[in-house]
Amino acid sequence: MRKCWVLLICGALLVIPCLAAAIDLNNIHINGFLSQGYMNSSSNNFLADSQNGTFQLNEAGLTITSQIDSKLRLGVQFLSRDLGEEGNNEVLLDWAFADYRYRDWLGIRLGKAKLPIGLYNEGRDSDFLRPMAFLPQSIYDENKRNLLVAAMGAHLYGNIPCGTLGDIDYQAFYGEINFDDDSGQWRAVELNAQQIISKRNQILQSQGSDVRLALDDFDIDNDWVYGASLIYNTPLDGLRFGFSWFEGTSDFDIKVLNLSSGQVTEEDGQDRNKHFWVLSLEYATPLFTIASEYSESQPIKKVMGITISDQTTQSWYGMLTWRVMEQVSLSLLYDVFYADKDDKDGDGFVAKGMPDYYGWRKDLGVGVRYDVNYNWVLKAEYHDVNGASLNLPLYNLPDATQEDWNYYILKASFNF
Amino acid sequence: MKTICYIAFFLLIAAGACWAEDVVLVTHPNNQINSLKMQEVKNIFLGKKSSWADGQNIVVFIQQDNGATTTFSKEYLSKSSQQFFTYWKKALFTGTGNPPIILGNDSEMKAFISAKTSSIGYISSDALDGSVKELKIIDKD
Repeated sequence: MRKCWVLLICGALLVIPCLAAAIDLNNIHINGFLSQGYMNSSSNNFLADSQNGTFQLNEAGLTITSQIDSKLRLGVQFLSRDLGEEGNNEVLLDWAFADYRYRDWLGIRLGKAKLPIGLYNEGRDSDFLRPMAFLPQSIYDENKRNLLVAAMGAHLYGNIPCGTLGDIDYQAFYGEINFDDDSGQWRAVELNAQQIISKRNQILQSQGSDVRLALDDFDIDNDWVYGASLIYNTPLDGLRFGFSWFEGTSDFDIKVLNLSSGQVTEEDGQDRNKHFWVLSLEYATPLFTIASEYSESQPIKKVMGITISDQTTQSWYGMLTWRVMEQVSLSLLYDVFYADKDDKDGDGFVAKGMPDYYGWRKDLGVGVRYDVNYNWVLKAEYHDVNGASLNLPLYNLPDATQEDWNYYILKASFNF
Repeated sequence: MKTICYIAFFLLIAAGACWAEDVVLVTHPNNQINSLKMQEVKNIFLGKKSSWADGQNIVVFIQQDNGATTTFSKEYLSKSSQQFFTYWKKALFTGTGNPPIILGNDSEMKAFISAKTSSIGYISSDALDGSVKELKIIDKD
């Protein structure tokens, strides 16, 4: 069934380039996109088996929308993506909702909709919407995509004119999400559970016990997410400020198997994404764009009675994009993440027997984007990274992560 | 260093040279609206204002990536044409809005505008004729 969907989407995307334009059928609009990248890294794997070079970096989407009347709009987008172990080109419902725009200042979307976190989260799956292949990871961590990308629920939105002072875009949402079992979020908690069980086995062994434990089953259930976003579009053309905020709670069900007796015991855990907020600034002119965002969050994660994290993280980045010609732009990015804003040297990790550089991630990236025409975009970029935070151990052998590493990406995208 | 300066200067000149054509905003001759403020133009073409004062839905037409669009997006929206199209692609692929209908050239624009009273679009000033009405911009520099 999955292959059928992939073939269907790929077939559509192969045929439609001949048209290079959206398909309009009696007020039903069909659009889509397809991107394929190649990523290679040195010293560490990043999001995939990238040290050997990987083509597991693609997205394909098919969007169907219809304006029912002047206020009501229906839309759905199917998305197939692959990023290392995540996605595997399974076709999923990316978003689907009914949008009722009562006035320009008040509308409501009911269904599954993208979450307005920071300036760019909503567009994170469409490669051609951003200057680089990935959004800055300190705030738009690919491992947390499943948690942050979209929610099933109610979303209010609108635009409030402020006369000569500009205008304000607002959004607010409440809903819940479904975790995919191949998502970074899922695998990170599963790894936490396995590490805890491994430590318990070491203790049992040191006590002379023959009992050995193993992870039998694992499940994540999201209770709710909610949040809001305000973007102030100033009277100065291209200058906007934003503030967004997100909260969410998920429960873990963990089944531990006693390999000696065959008995299964149930344990639990919880992930409380507390006070995740982002301050944003963007100044865009036809020749250049400057963007910077600052964020903090307090992810309180407990697994099987052990507190995995309760520190306040700190993230920020600055990005300059210079459009050297109408079709060519160069980008420079400096992106910083600290797992604990009060422990920037990583002493807490050292105390737990881990390297200090698990406490940060600093990414200096340069990239070029070439808009071949309305439909095609090509990108090439290089990143020099210091630090192994943001779940790098998920993609590397235990204790094999390196402090200094780099990666480059080549990517082509098509949209119609 | 000198070479880099020359290249940067050339690229800036090349980027600036793309904007040469004069464009005018147009609507149906029977549309009651005769003039707009710049902020209104921005809000209409960025999808933030969706109805005229009489309550009719605004139907927005734009042109493909050509000289008229390059001039219009820079002078009226302070964006490059690529930024303008990316803005609407974001709305389309995130579900937050339906992009305007993209037309091929001035002739096509005039044909569509003259068929819809509540429409708005832009054409090269050279192409202006009686089939459409020019909208004056009150506070344009």
